[in-house]
Amino acid sequence: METTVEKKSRYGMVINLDRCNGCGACAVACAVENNVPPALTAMNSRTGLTWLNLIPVSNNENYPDNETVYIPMFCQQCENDTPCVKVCPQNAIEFDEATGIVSQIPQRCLGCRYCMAACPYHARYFNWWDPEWTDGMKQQLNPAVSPRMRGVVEKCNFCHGRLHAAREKAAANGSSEIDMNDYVPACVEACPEKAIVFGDLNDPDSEVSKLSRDTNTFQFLTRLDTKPKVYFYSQKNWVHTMAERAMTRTGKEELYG
Amino acid sequence: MKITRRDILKLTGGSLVGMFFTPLPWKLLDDSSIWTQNWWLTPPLPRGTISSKFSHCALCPAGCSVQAKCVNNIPFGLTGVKDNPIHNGYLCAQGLAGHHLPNHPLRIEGAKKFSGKHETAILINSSQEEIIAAVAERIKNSKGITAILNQNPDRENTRIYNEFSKALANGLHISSPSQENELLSIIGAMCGVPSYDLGFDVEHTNLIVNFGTNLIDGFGAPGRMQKILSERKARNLKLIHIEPKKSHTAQSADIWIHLNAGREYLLAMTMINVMLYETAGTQHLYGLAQDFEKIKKLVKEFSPARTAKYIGISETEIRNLVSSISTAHSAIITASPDPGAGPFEQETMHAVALLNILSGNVGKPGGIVRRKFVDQQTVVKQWNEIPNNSISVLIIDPSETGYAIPWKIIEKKLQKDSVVVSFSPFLNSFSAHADFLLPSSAPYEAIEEITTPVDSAVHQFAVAAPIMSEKEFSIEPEEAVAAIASNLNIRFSALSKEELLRDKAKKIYELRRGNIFNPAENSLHSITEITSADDLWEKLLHGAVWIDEEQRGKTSFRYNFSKVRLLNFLQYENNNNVTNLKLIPVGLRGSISNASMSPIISKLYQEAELRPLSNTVLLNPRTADGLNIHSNERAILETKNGTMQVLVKTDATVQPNCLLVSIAPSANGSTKHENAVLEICDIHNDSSWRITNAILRKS
Repeated sequence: METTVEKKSRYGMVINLDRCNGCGACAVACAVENNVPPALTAMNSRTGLTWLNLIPVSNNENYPDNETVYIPMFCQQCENDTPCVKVCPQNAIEFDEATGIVSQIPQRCLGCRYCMAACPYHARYFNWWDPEWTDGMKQQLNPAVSPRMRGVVEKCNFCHGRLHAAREKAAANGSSEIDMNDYVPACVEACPEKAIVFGDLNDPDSEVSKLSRDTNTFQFLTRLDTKPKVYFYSQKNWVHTMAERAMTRTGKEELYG
Repeated sequence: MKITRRDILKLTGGSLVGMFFTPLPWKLLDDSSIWTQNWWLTPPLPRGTISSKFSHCALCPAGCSVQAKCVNNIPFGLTGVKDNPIHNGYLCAQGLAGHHLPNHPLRIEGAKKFSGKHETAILINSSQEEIIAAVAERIKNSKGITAILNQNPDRENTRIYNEFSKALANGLHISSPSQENELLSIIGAMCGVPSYDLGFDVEHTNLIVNFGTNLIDGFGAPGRMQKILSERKARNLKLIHIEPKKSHTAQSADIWIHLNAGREYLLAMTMINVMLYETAGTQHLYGLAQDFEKIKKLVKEFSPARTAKYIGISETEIRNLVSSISTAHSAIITASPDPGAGPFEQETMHAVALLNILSGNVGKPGGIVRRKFVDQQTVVKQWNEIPNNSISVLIIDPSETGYAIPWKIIEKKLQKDSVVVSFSPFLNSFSAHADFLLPSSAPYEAIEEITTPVDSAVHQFAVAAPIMSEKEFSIEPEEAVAAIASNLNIRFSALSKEELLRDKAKKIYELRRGNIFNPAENSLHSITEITSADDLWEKLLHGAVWIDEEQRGKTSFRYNFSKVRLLNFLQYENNNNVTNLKLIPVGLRGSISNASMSPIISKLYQEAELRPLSNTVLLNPRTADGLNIHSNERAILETKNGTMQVLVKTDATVQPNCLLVSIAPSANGSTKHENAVLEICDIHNDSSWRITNAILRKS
């Protein structure tokens, strides 16, 4: 059965890498909002759960000419031939035509991790362990987001819980369109540098739409033609060059400009 | 037709092959994944009324305004308060997860004591009464000093600590050796003003010359500093950053001066030399400053021609730097402790203080300004004034500066059979060395005072109102001190923290000066619109903040340089006999131990490669090549004070021949080795530990 979509939005982001200072507020706000559990002792950068992973990337020059940018890497919400959707045997990944958001449905996931292998951005994370919080911290979970169990994959969904809340608020006010001030993902809200701009890419007047058309804006791995809805902005040439290199989940050696 | 055994086998085989072309195997796979699901192991979500509360973050002296989203009155998320004129509505990474701290795995639940002083000592349950009686008994029989160590001495509970220490025969109330406002204290001492009456006027300055401070999230209120720095162009503000490492502050600065590590004193003295002998801008001090000629004479030998090669920058760069300060309408020259490497040496801090004074930026809008008077007390003694081996009972207040302090510095002042009492609610680098633990409330459980951040030109007053219920097993420091005093039969006013803060609110109300920012209404009103002191108190309990008026115009001071501590060139060179490799501990404000932040901060350290875990050494790839050590290898770091195992990471932002060793945090659940590097650092007489000669070899 086909779902009829009346108005299509394409939620997306533009991240100004020249403004980002790697403070980590976005990554922490994301984990708190989405009930991502803290690391267990054995976890490391390969087995951890970082829906938003801040990757420091260098221009490969030595001291004192070295430069670093911090790339907040998370699900790029691919529009075209979404690689994870295509490989999932369980229909546990859904591309929402109404919003352009790629959602993960952990209850359907059987943990085969095909999607992790398929994702060119390494933005998907597998729950190797059961999530653990102290008893008190369990009372501090976000009531709008379900925690995930061991053996399933999870990833950024543009704070879907906040989208639902905004839709409910709009519906209560008799509107079918949300007020974008009500739908601000946690990372955008937390960024002290205002480096992340979020909005509807389909709205030509929105700031995000205008920024996405700027000549200094680029996407990662455009040669794959996945048409990600997360754009990056930088005035540095070496950062643009780096964007076409293959990405590794850990180690920044292949991300030099 | 006769059915043979072969037919049955064919049918079975065919069915099996055919089954793979049906949905059955997929269904089986699907079902088996469902049968093996263990959703019952994920915690049920809290359900109930959703509400919102305003308060302040008391994790560091910045004291940012927060809005807490709560379910059943328990916070599940924090955000900054938009439009707050001081904090600009943002929280740092640690602050965003601060609400987890009351439920931290390293929380101490109830009064406890260690079974001995050795490393294998275990924590034993005790009672508050037993510990209070034991401490009182110890104070009674003490032959040394009973000291209260207070890391945030600008708060009102200073009154109680002062009263208690004065009532004892050998009582002292002391501040910690690593304070964000240290530069203001030194300048204050030179011009006879307490440090809390001085502030950096970052809002109006045209130039910040910054000696190594992480301005982005390690100075003042992070939201405010980041806003000011990102609006540099519009504000006509220039940032000159002086640091060996190409940190993010260095990268984002207008000019980065990468001097040789440990040469900040030489640079500051050479700048003074240029100011005094090559420019004509210091005449205003003649007659205003006692012992000015003495300084002038000492500085003479630090000519750019002599020092430039040691500093590692050209003479022209030094002169240009001085010229930038002289020509700026207003300037601030900052130097703050590093959360890992600690404070600069006293002589460096004094030289930077002199730079501010000599450039005429003290008392001037856009420089270091005098805040309007607010009645406040301060501590009796500074840490460095305490003789070694003199403290017999040390009581440690739970406040934290966000900067690490090696236990060796504390230990140096303790007598052999001393007793240490910690009021910290967490098992951290101090409480782990205490004999007795009387845990106080965790952040957001009890009322706490928010003092003025250093980057504010005006006083402010707010309270971190509790947003969670207090645990039965905790005791407030003021109550504990009152109980110890009672055991010693000392007459004591025994005001509670709330009474002290109400009293301060009343004094502020009576000043009838300044404005109140009320986050609930998102409004800024004059205090004259407040109807009573009780009304003001109510507003403060709901997240409001009082912001004083600015001191208008210039303030003139008379300076006294008689206590300025500077070294001559020879003394300095003798003290800085640095070998090839320099060990420098590093950390971020508030990330000095696992106990000082939520376990969720693992997203930045343990589960990502953004920040190094404790005992990771960062070194330049060229230095690593020279040592034949590769990234991600284990190595042995050796100093004259001991050895430790480290993980090597190459980082091209690090100056060659420097070894930057991360102090904390460790992986979640494993706190044994945090701050280990501080134990092998050289501790100087002025309680600084910035650079230590070291050797790094393959393990």
